[in-house]
Amino acid sequence: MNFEFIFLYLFRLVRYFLLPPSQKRKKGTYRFVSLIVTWNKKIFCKRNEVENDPPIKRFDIEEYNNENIKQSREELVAISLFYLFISYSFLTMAKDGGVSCLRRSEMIGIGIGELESPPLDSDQVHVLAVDDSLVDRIVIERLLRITSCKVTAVDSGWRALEFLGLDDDKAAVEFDRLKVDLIITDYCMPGMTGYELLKKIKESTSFKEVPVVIMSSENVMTRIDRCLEEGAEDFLLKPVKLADVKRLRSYLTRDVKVAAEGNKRKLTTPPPPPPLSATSSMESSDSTVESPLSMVDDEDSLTMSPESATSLVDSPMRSPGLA
Amino acid sequence: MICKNLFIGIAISNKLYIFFFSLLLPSRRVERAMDTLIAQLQRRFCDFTISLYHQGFLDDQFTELKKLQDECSPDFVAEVVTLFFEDCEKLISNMARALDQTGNVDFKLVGSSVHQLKGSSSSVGAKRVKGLCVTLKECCDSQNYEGCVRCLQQVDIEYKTLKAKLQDLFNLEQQIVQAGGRIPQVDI
Repeated sequence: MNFEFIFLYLFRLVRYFLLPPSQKRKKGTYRFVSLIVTWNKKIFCKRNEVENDPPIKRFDIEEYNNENIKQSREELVAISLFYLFISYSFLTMAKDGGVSCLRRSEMIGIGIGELESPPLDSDQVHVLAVDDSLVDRIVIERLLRITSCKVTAVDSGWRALEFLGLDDDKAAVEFDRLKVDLIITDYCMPGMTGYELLKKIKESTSFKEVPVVIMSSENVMTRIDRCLEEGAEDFLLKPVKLADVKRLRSYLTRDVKVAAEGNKRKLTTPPPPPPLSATSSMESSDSTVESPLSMVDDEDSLTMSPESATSLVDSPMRSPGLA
Repeated sequence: MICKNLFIGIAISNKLYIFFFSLLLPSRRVERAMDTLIAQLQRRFCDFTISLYHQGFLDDQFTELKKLQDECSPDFVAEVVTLFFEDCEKLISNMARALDQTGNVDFKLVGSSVHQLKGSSSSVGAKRVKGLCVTLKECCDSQNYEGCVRCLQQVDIEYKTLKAKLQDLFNLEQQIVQAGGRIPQVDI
């Protein structure tokens, strides 16, 4: 705020010093006033008071030129000061907005049609989405991106196998294999259906443990049972909602964390007993070690267990009206 | 505010570039007019959206799609809907071509196209189109040629109507954004 007043007075000072001394009072602020005074005189004063009018000046070319040069110089200085001020004010205003503009340009790169995901971060979940319909692919990709997953979307089962490196029937080569944490696939696809893709994935050695989720627009019990028997993690009904994907994500991160720790217990079981001291008796150590072991037997596989099977079968039937 | 003070400074100096600054300065009256315009547009947007839901053009899945739209991708719904309409056109033309082969109509091809169309329309939330796809699938399964042709015509009309309505909706949204307002959240 103070800067504007400084500018105002700076401007006036400059003008004052640029003007030649003889014209300081006649020009500028008083020009308009003197003009009004002369008009008033002409309207209201009598005719014989003609001597109040200013005398006619003889035209002097040099003075005329000097005056014009000084006017233009004055204008130049004023304009340059103005632009300096405007640029300063815009720079101060843009300082905060500048960062968000940069961010937006970065985000333009992550467009809607892109199927290439940015380089993998080892902490982030990588999902492979398989669907033959473009609209469904876009929607599922967006749903997964919103829940902060890296997504690779392919349009057929064959492409998915190619991506995973399972299309050749040779033995799995021990190179740096692609890290895929979840495979989500449509059931009805031309060529290879989701069920066949599921079978192929479960037959492979390297991707057997990866959870596979099947989506379908039809609520057919036999289909659901078949998929779950084959080893599918879950069965989603189309259209897929954000709540479904969030639920998937929640037990996916749990499984990923559990797998990373090396033991196969779910987080619902009590934590393992604290390390026993060497002086404890064998019986007590046996009894405490035995109970966690029995629990491990029940919930050994990441994919299926008796009680979770029933809960998973119940969940696709939650919205029968969508079929 | 900054411009206003400059305006005064330059008016005092009595130079001619006063004219340029008067254009930069929005007056209070203009601002108030803009506010009422934004409110009017927002009201029209809300009413239009609610009418679309009540008339059965859109359903819950469209609301879900709207949830996925944010500052990172502000045109997500528009892009998905455009892709859906392109898909629609392609599938309908495929089906029309298949049904045109009088004598040996490939009902399997028509059936698979209808299945795809049903899937995309349910993903987007186009309720009426999906309903018509269901009837078309039934006609196709029972190999009812006349029924198929009639249904296909209805599907064609329906998706074009929806396309026009959604275009109006997006135009309204654009107008609101251009006027400087915020697109309101509509609760169905």
